[in-house]
Amino acid sequence: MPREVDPSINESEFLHKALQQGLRTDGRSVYDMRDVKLTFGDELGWVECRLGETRVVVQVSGEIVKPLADRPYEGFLVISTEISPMASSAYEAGRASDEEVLMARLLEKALRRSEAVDREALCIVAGQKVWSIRVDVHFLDDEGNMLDCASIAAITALRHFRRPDVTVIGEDVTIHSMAEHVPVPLAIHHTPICLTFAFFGDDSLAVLDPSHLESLLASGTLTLTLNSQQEICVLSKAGGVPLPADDIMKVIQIGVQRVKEVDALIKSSLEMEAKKTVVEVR
Amino acid sequence: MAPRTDRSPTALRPLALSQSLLARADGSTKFSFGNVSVMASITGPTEVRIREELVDKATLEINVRPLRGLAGPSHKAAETLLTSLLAPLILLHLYPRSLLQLTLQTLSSSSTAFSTAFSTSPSSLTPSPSTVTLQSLPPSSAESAARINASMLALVDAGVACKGMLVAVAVAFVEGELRLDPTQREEEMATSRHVFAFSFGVDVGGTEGECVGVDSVGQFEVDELFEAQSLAQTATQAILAFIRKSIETRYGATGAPPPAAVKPAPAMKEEKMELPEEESEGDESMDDA
Repeated sequence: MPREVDPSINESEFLHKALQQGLRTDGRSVYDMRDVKLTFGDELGWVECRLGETRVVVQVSGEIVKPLADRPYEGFLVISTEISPMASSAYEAGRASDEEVLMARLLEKALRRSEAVDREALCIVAGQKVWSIRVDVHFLDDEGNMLDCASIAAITALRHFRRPDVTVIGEDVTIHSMAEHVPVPLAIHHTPICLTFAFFGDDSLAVLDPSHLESLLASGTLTLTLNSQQEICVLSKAGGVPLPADDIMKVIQIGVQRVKEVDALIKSSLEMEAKKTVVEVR
Repeated sequence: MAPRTDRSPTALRPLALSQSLLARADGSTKFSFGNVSVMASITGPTEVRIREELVDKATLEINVRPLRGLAGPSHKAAETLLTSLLAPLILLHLYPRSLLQLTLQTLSSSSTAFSTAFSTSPSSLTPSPSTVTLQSLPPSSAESAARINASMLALVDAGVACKGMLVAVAVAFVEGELRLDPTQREEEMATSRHVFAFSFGVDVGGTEGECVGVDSVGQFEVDELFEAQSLAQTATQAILAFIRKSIETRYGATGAPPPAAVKPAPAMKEEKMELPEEESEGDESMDDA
């Protein structure tokens, strides 16, 4: 596939000079995120997140499967992140680049390893039937920072999703249709959100939510996964320039603030959506 | 199964079309039949891998991606169907030694896996599968038709030269009754379902449209097929009229393409007016038809 075109020397110099004066090419200040826009589908568990021009669609769905023999009480959370050439022609269908693998791993750490979804609550009959929750992440447009966009979309979709209600009598399981019984939300412990900072040069210049051009020119990135309870779930820095501890502390302080804003936005969007779509009648 | 209450058996669901949604693709389109919607993106003509390079024409690469799960054999079949429908219509010889990359992503497709209740109890009357899987859903015909329309409109958006327009629609027979643009539920109950693709344009079907592709599943009589085809033909004409209207509204054009001399040349580039020009070329072929 065609390689990503390297930015020109002019573009690079312009961006660096502007950053030294605290300016960014899209008019944001250095620690601002682009606007997060969440759209919900007709179906529960369908969410589109837009971070500026970056666009990710997530569909959450559930199926009933047999659990692993050594973990009879645990359901599954499967995250599928294959980047199609729709995001950008730099991504090849069916062959994951290093960047893509890193992104998939980080999303996995953020959602699964942080235990955001209670997997034991997905058990129906121990050792026989458990829910397997599938999160399909579709990257539609790569205008930089797809990871943060995907993490916001995925956690919102998981919170929006409802699984059908199930009645267990002995070994018999009855799955009730959505019309018959009120569908059940997933047990979610917290809302982890990824925030990516890009670093430029040796003079400790950091920007939040790098655009496509910024991520091409950055000398290194740092991804934080935080929740609104001010807990750090993941701190990942894969390669790039070394950073002093002070810089890392500084971006964490900023991250804590930004995560609260994003979390509040997710909450208000979900509430707005809940008013529009009647899921349960009391 | 109960007859349709929301629309007549020969009516379409509301159509929706939006173009140029994606920043990184050369052309993109979202096309929907009611709640079935598909996004298509085109990149190209671009650099092609040497192994796939063709000296006399462009390589057409098509990727079909489902909303849930991974692409399986049914998606490979959909890719083959699209290739056979689109390749003769695109003027591939104009872009030798290059690549046209078409990616299709299903954005929403109603699933009915849990719309009916069932039990795993042996005494239960309903069929009792021990596990419920996502793959049990059959590939939808309405989705297939939406894919064809979305790909064609992405080509128009990217300004890729084509001989004409390709428009598709799904038809199903439910209890002997003809149903245009069936819902997921109707498709499941259908004895047969068909996707018809019609081409419109000079020498490829005119304004009437020429049937260039039929994809049928199920049992049906020859007469039924022709009955369905004539219904599909009128439906595709209506869809094409909708597409025309939508593109015209977008570029502010009315009726025939505006005369080229009226446009002041230098000022246009700043206002991103390049697309309308490419567009009017696409429109012309439809107009002459």
